[in-house]
Amino acid sequence: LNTESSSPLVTAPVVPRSELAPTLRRWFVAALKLLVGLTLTQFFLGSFLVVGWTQRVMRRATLEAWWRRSGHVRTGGTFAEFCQAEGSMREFGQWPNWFLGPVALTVGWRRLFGSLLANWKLGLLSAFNTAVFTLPAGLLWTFAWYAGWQNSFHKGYEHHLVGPLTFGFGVVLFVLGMFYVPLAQARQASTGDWRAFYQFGLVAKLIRRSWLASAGLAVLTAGLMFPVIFFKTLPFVFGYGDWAASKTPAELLTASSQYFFLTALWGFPAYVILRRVAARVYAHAVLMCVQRGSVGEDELSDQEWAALHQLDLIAPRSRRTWHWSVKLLAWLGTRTGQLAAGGAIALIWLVLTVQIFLGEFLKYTEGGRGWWNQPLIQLPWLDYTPTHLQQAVKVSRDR
Amino acid sequence: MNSESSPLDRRTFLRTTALGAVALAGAPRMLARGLGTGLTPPLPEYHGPNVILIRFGGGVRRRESIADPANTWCPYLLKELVPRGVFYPRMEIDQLRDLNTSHGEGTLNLITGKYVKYEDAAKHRADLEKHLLAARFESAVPTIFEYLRGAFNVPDHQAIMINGEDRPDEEYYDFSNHHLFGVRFRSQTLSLRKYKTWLYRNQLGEGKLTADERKAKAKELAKFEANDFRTKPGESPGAALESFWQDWREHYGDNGFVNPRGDQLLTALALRSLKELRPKLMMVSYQDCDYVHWGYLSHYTNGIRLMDEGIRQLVAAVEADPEYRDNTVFVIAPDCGRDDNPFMAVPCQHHFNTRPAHEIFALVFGPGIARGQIVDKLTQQISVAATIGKLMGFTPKFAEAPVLGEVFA
Repeated sequence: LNTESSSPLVTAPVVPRSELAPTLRRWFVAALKLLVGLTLTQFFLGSFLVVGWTQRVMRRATLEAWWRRSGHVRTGGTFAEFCQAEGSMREFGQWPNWFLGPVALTVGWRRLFGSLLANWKLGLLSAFNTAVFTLPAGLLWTFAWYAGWQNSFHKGYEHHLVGPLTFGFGVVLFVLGMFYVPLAQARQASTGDWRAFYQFGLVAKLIRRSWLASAGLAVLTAGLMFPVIFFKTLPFVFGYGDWAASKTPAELLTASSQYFFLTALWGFPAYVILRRVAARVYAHAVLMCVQRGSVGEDELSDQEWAALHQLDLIAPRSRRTWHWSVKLLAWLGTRTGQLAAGGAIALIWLVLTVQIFLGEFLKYTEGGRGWWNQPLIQLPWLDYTPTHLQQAVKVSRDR
Repeated sequence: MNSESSPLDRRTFLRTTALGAVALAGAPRMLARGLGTGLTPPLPEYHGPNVILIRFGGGVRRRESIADPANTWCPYLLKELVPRGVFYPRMEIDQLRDLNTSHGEGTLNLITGKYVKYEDAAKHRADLEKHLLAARFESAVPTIFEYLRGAFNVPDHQAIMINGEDRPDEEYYDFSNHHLFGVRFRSQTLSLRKYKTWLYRNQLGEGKLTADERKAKAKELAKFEANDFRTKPGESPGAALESFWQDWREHYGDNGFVNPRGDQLLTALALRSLKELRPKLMMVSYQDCDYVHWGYLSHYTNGIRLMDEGIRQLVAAVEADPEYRDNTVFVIAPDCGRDDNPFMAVPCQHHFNTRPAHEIFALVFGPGIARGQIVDKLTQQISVAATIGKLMGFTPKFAEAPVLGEVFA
């Protein structure tokens, strides 16, 4: 099955009857890709593939954002056509595949599993880099939760501050990390190089050029995360009713699996949307910096430089702008503005921390997973079915 | 008829009659209260068995305790004590609507013999500050401690409740609000909070504290006294408890870090009170396994294990004491069970009215009690009060469930 498609996941263009068949095909392929994505979010290893696939989506979104700012868009062509015309960008003309390699390859294992391998490699590298900045905070929260309960149980009056202090330190680390991670992820995706994640100077420059957008991204993350945490927590309500008491372990396991699969209908698109928005923020920040000379051409990756050249976006632009939004951006460039924006962003990430805390308080997840993995930030692993339920089914089958 | 000409006019007649009726109606009540008029007959001395009631709490399911001998976390209870007494594996807290399965409620079910939907005392008392999730319950019917002290000449320090340091709301069960019983027949509570209250009063009186320490202790004391809204601030617990706490202080010192902690503290208090206070009726309200709520399952199972060990120590202490050895009955029952939520990684809450939260058990063993009897029938948690009443020779007349008859068979 060739699932290459130039359609986005869910757009529904109105087409003449003669084009109905290709449109239906595109919808079918989009639905199939969605189904694969939903399914992969149910598994730990599958979530790495989702991360890798989304990295490719981000790269495409960055290019598309630049294309929209270029003169090409006024010629009436589509982004897909532009990519098709530029050999080096051909693969970005359509949404990436989950398994099959580029259509240009007609045979061989790269044709069969090219995307699978790419997704896997990119997923591992991106997840690792994200973990470097976010996992320490999550592990501190996990430990703080453990230490707090240990202290309560053992009445360790002498160590009563260990839990709260560790948690507080974790919050600070998380907030600091989240200033950096979204655009660093986008940087890695855009360059295709895992080391680009650690170009601290460049990424910091981009963040300073996009305070407002970063704040918006933080709000979007907190907003999209709320349902994810809510869905994670909600099953504890179902488990107390007569309904649950009347079911066998196998029925409960099925119900739980189906429930979490359905929650992926929110979680998976939310993950992709967040990454696409981050990619656009990155694209605009890079463009602004390059055109104003604060980022040199030599700081761009070869692919980025080539794309910007082909789109004729490298040339410096005038700084003469008078719109209020530009004035606001200018103010955000001042020290006061940066402090205010930074404070606002920190506050938003703090709100997200409160969500995480409440979710985990109401429904503690196995191994403290709710502390160390936030599905829209790290691995989009969305099935929280308790292991004891799976074990109960196994025991009942063995009997 | 001209009422003014009568030597006993109508108004005087009615007033006299009313006063007489009130006096007649009130006489038995005054007698029952024993108002110290010299007319009250002295209460008889108590010669019955001592009873140690152990609240196997806070909140224990059958699954981890009694359901499977191969996987129990209280092997001493299940494998050594159950064969020594009458065991009720199917005791329940009734599935009444709005009845909360929790620690305070379960404790009051055990000691009053009546199911009640309790509310925080601040809902009825204008003088009490409202606290979030507060559970300061006041029973309207007497507790077994009050019945005992109302029926026999048992001093309050021999009717003892031992409470955990994290359960300040459960320190108000010393007496009910019942007009025939109440504070005159109160029991006494031993707890770390009671000790600190006593200690801070003494330390402030001794005048050895620095100004900062004095300020901090006074603040803490004021908080404790405000929480203990049913006792007058500064009220002494009595000579016996003064002496008890003095001994405790001499042994463990002032800093609060030397004494045992958690449920081990409860065991230590119970063991020491057996030696020093010689209680006739004692309740030990274990609690540590409740730390499972949103935490770790191992705290729950460890809590059960600690209780099991505490019971072993108590039984050993009783058996080593000639006065208690053949004259003490143990009654063991959880305050409540725990939920079993299949969708939770730690499925052990107890507030959600599920069946396992209502399912508990009880064990009664001691001299005169049948050995090795397992009663496979539904029984109610509130039967414990009536059963203890029958064991000790008083009638808890407001208890609403029958005695556990097999105990006396």
